[in-house]
Amino acid sequence: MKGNRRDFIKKTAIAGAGLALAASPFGRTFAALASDKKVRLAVIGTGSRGRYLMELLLAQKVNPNYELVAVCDNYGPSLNEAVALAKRYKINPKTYTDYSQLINQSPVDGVIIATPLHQHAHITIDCLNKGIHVLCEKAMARTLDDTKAMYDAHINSGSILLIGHQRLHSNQYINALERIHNGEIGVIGQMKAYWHRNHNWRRDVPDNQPDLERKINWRLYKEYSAGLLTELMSHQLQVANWAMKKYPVSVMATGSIQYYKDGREVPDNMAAIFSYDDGTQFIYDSMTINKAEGCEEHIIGDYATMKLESNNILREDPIKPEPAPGIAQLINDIQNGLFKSAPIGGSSWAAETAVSYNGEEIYKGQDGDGTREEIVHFIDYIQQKSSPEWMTKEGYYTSIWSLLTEKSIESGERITCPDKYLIG
Amino acid sequence: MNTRMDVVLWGNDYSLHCEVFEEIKKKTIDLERIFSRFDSQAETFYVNQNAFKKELKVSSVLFKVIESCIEFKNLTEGYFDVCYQGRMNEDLTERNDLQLNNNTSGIRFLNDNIKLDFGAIGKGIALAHVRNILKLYGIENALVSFGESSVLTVGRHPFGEYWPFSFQSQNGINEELQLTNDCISISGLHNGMAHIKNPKTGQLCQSKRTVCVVTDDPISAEVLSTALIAAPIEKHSQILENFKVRKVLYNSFSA
Ligand SMILES: NC(=O)c1ccc[n+]([C@@H]2O[C@H](COP(=O)([O-])OP(=O)(O)OC[C@H]3O[C@@H](n4cnc5c(N)ncnc54)[C@H](O)[C@@H]3O)[C@@H](O)[C@H]2O)c1
Repeated sequence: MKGNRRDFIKKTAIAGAGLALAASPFGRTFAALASDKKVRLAVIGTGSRGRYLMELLLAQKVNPNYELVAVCDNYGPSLNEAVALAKRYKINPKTYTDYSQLINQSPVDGVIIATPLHQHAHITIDCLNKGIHVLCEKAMARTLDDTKAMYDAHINSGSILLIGHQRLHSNQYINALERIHNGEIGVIGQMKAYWHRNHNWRRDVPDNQPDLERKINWRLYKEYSAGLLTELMSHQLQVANWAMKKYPVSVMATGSIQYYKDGREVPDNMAAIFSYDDGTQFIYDSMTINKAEGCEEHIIGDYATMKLESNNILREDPIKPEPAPGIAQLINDIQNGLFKSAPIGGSSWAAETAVSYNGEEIYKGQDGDGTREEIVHFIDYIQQKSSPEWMTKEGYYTSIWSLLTEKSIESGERITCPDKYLIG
Repeated sequence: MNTRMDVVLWGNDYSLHCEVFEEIKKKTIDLERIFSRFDSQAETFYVNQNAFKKELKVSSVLFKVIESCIEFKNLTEGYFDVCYQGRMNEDLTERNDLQLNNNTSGIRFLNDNIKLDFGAIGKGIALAHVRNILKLYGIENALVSFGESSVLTVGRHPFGEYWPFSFQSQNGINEELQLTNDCISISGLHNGMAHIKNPKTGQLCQSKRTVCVVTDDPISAEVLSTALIAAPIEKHSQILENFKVRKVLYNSFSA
C-alpha cells in the first residue's frame, strides 16, 4: 500500500506539473506584446455585486490598460448609484437601461455581467456573438439549456467567456490546489464543504413598491434562481471539481423550506452528496439559521486535510515534538563524557501531553478572495485574445451540476448528467 | 500514544543497537494497534464499539491486560479503573462492567456507556514488552523513556554505576534517584492541566500534586502513579500496601 501511494504521488507530481502551468493564468509578458490599446469595458447590472466590481476597477486601478466606458441597469436606483460611484472617481461612463443599446452603440471590448441569474444567458450570448468578451458572474444560467447555449456561443464566436468563480484567481487557492495536485495531502478520500449563514437572505423592498419584491429578492424565487445551489454552493462545488481535476458522475440531494416560511420558493437549507467516478464523495450542506460553522471547504487526503477558506493544512503526522528536556540533557552529557543526573518531573515537565496542533498556514500574501485578480486576468485575456479553456469548462460544469442538484432535490432521485450536456 | 519515545543504548555494537531499536519501534506500533481507543483500526477501538452488543473474542494480549486491569482495580481500591469513562458517581464504582470468559478469551460490556481506556497504562505495557526485547537481545545497559513520564532503566550509565535522575520539586529540592533495573512513572498535572479522572466522581483531579513511583514493574508503576493522583492522600498507604514499591516521591507546585 505504502509503495503504491508513493507511486501515486510521483505520478500525480508529474501530472500536476502540467496543471500547475495551466493553473497560473498570468500572461503579463504576452499581454505587453499583444496590444497597447486600452481595453474598453462596460458593466451590465450595477446592483450590489456590479458596483463592487466597478469599485475594484475604479479604486484600485487594477491595470493601466483599461477604461470603464459604459454602465447599464434596468432599475433606476441601481443605475443612479453606479453613476454616483463613477463620479467619485471622476469618470463619466455612458449609461444605458437596455443592454442591447449598449452593445450596439458603445464600442466595447469586454463586458462584466452582474445581473440576476435568469438574466445572464441572453445578455452573454448576444455579447459573445457581437465579438465582445464576457466575464459573467456565477452561476452561468438558470436552466441547463441556457447554460449549454452560453458555452456553445463562446465556442462558435471564439469570444472569451469567463465565469465569476473568483477562487480560481486567488493566489491562495492556486497555491493550495497546485499542492493538492502535487500529492501533498496524499490521495483525496473525501471532500466536505458547507456554507452556513444566519440571515433570511432578504433585501429591503421600498415601502411604497411591493411589486418590486420579486425583482429585488430574485434569489428567493425559482423563476430567477436556484437559491443556495447557484448562489452559494456553486463556488464550493467549483473548488471540489478543481481539486479532483474532474467532474461528478452523480448527485443525490435534498432540501426544504424549513424555517423561513415567508413565501420564498427556494430551500432555506439543503444537503447534497456528489460522487466522482473513482468513488470519491463530495459532501455539501448549506443553511441559513446559524452561522457558527461558517463557510469552509475541506479537501481530505490520507496525508493531510486542507481547509481552504481558512487557509489551513492539518497534517496527519504533524511535526514531531521537541526532545524531552531531561533525556536530551542526559544524552548530551553522555556525549560529553559526563555523569550527571537528569532532571525529571520538574516545573517545566510536560510529559505525555498530546502535542496541541492546529495545523499550518497554507499560503501567505493573498488579500481578498481573488475577485480583484479575476478582473486583472480578464483584462489580460482580452489583450491576449485568449483565455484558458479549462477555466470556462470549470464554470460550465459547475453550473450544470448545481442545476442537476436542483433536479435531485425536486425528484428525490440520484441524478446523472444527460449526454447532451457533456462537453468532453 | 501521542508521546515521544527516547531509547538510549550504549556499547560498541552499533548495528545490534540499530536492530534493537527497530524491534522496539515495531513493537510499540503493534501495541498501539491493539490498545488505542482513537485508532479506528485498533482492536480496543473495535471492542469499544461492539462489546456491549455481544461477547467478543479478543487477542490473548488484550485479554491478559484486561484481566490484570480488573485485578489492579481491586488493588487500588477502585482508583485505577480502565472503565472510568462510564462512571459518573460513587454508586457506579462497585458496579461490575466487564464480563470475561476465560474459555473463549471473550469479553462483554455489561453496560452500554462502557469504554476501555488504556491511556494510563499503555506506556507501562509498552515498557514491559521493551524490557523483554532488551533481554532477548542480551542488552545489559539501556534507558527507554516515553515522554519522560514513564522510564525504564536497565544496567547502568556509561560513566557511572547507575542511571542518575533527580526528581525536581519547584521548591528547589532535588531528590536523587539512582536507577539500575527500575521503572519510574510520574503523574500529575500536565502543563497545568488536569487529565486524570477520579473514577468515583467522574471529576478531573485538580490537585497540584505530582507523584513519582519507582518499582521493578513498569505496569504497576503506571497503575500506581495514576491511582495516587486520583485517590485522596489518606487512602495512599492502604493502596501502597498492596504493591511492591521501591520509592514514592511527591511534590506539589504552588503555581
Ligand atoms: N462571485 C461572487 O462572490 C458573487 C457575490 C455576489 C453576487 N454575485 C452574482 O452577481 C450577480 C448579481 O448579484 P447581486 O447581488 O448584485 O444582485 P442585485 O439584485 O443586487 O443586482 C442585480 C442588478 O441587475 C439589474 N438587472 C436585472 N436585469 C437586468 C437587465 N436585463 N439588464 C440590466 N440590468 C439588469 C438589477 O436591476 C440589479 O440592479 C448574481 O449572478 C450573483 O450570483 C456573485
